[in-house]
Amino acid sequence: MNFLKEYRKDLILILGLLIGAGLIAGVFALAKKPGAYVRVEQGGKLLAIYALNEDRREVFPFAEGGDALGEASKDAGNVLVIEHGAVHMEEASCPDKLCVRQGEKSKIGETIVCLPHRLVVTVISAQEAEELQP
Amino acid sequence: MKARKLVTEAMLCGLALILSYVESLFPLAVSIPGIKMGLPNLVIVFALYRMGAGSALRISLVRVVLVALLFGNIYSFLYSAAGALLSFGLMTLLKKAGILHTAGVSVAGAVMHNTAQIGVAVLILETSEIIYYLPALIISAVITGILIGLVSAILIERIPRF
Repeated sequence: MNFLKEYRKDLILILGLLIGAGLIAGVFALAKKPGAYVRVEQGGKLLAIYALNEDRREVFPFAEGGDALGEASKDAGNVLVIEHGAVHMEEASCPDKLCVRQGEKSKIGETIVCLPHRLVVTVISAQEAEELQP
Repeated sequence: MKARKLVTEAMLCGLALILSYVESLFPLAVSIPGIKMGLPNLVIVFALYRMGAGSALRISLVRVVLVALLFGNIYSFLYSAAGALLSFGLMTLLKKAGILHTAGVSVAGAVMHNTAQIGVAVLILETSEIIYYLPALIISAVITGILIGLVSAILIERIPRF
């Protein structure tokens, strides 16, 4: 009890900051706008842009370190699926499968990252997609 | 300025510089930029309590300039200068107010530091998306701030007067 009394104001400050951080995170989560497209990049290089309103299944054949596997191995790499206006990674040939576990994404700015294959999938707005398209 | 004070400040500054380097060797979270242990703040808090605000400010500023010259660039200098100055200002005010323990002062300083860095990043990168990192940075600052503050309190009490 002595401890609580002595550090009361410090504890109030800390609790206040944590609650504040939680509230800000909540507001950010609610304020996120639904995206229109997904951008697929590998090692900073743009690979593809897909619309979120068309269902599709794409295979990105990459090996550890980001080397392309080529046409021969259609099963290795990352399998990207767009369904019901959201994107998720269905399969990955990497050991940790973190990208598969990141789940479905549909809001602007949300990303799916596959570090071993250096693959980054980002949900973007229609405007941003327009600027990227050649 | 007395030679003794000058030398003490220079030594603490060297210590803060080494701690900046040590902390850059052990990034806490790779996915979120800016999450750090805040080890140099040990020295700043110590100086603030034992030597006064003037000493703490000089040590902090010299450290920021040296770190930028040795390991950084103009942008990293702007981030850390904003963080260091605002965090120093807030910690000095709170210490003067005398309502908080060292841990509380250190937490406030750490949160101010991270918030200031996000602010500068928004200005420099001209993107507001980076603000999504704010909650994570506040929470990490609270945790590291508590630890740094508790250790500082021990150092302030136990290190013999010089």
